[in-house]
Amino acid sequence: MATIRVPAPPPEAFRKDRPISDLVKSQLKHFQHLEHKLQIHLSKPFTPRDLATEAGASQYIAEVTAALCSRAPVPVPVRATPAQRPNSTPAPRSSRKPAKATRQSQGLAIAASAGRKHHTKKHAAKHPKKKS
Amino acid sequence: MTPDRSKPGIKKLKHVVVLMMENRSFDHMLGGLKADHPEIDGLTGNESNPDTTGAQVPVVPQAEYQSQLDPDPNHHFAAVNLQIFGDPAQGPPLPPTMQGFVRSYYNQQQNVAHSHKILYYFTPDKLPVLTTLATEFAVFNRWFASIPGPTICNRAFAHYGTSFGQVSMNLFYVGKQYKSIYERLLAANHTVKLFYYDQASSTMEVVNLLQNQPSLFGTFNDFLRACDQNALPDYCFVEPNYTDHDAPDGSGEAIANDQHPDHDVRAGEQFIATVYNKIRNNPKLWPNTAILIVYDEHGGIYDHVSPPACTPDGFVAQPADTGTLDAFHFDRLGVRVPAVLISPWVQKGSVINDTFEHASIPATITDFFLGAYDARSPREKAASTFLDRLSLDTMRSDDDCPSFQLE
Repeated sequence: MATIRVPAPPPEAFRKDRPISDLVKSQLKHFQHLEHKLQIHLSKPFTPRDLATEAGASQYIAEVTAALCSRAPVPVPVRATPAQRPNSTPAPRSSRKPAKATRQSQGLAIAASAGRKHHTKKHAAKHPKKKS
Repeated sequence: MTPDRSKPGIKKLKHVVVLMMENRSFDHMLGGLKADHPEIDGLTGNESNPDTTGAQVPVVPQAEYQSQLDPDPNHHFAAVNLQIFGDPAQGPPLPPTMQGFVRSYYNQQQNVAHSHKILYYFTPDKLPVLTTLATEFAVFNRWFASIPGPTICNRAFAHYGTSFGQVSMNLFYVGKQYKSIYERLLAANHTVKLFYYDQASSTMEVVNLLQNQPSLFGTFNDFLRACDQNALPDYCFVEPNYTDHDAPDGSGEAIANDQHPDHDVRAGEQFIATVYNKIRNNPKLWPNTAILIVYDEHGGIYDHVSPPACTPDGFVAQPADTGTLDAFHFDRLGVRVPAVLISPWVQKGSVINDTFEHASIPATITDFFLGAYDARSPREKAASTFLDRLSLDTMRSDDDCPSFQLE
């Protein structure tokens, strides 16, 4: 069977100054919730204006993700807590339990950790750096 | 259906990879296949919706890769009610006529001509990856979003078999009664990983999984490396890149490849092809890996198939949360989405007509890797499973399976 060619998006399809979608806005809210709840310290403050574009939001998300990935293992959540108001049937409360030791949590995970630097060739969907 | 474990494709199966894309309906992406593949429940060209002038507007094959669905079509619960039932405030017992998509999109810009674009669909030649995989392997005629609503609650069904009563994008913490598919597998000493694209895109499962179990996660480069090293976890869930951004490692521009409007659909095609090629071209992975490509929800874009009723979830979302007059009992599905099952053990040109939803993902993975497992949501217990489609007695040859070259 013949190999099928897959066209690439044109360079102008990449618009990191695009305003963020409702999806990314929600993702940001979730990260902000954890930033405050866990008292994560970031390298710089992010203003609402900083977070208005995909580029800005992704910088913030990268920082918080890195911080979350570097935290020590914490107990698995066992408590249902509706975010804003009791909007649905919640699960009953229960005491927290420590996470079970697993092959992955013991460092035998097959894939590398999210935060580790790597040297493999980048995915084809990434454009090479533009030259000025 | 539980797969026949005497089948060679099931005996060999070691890995399942799920790639969940963003916000496109079945008809929008695959509806154009019906012309040459009448068994695929796509579009005849006679489907239509009324616009706000009362004119009946037909579907047309004029979808473009980008700049057409801007603003992002509304797909919150009330808007989807309008799209399905013609009334944002009410659902059943109104009939699900699928006649409210144009009116819903009109509400965002009050532009009649622009509202028609919600009916546009792609010709198959514009989506060579998705349409080729759909016709060369198995396409699902009836895979529906789990909830007639937005992304995060729908993705929760793929992780937990329920959204714990959520119908929106709100924060939520999981209930203890149902463990994620990852926790279940880890407890049984299986390997498992969620691969987000990179740290700047990260995951949509922040509050529950990334916060508490960051070791579950890896990047897309980790996924590619695991493929190269024949070290793929038993179960992999892959998330696309949700934003255009500079790669955190300084390697260049990382273009969004989730296909969420208004991101360029071609980037998503390349992303799907990359996942497929990586497995297809590794002879140590291809015979023992199944890949599911599926979209989380329809993104407000037209589909002609009415979503069916389903087993109630045991949770209730109140009217204040649905934004309608009714509470929601998780007893009906969302709009139909594209879904394709890939394996060299799948009969070429398979069309699956059973009903599936995202709870089918943990249902299938649990059934295959763990067997009987009681502590699951009613929805997951009732959900169809899909690995029985790896049913060939002889593996398809390399020449019989497509390969893609990225330009």
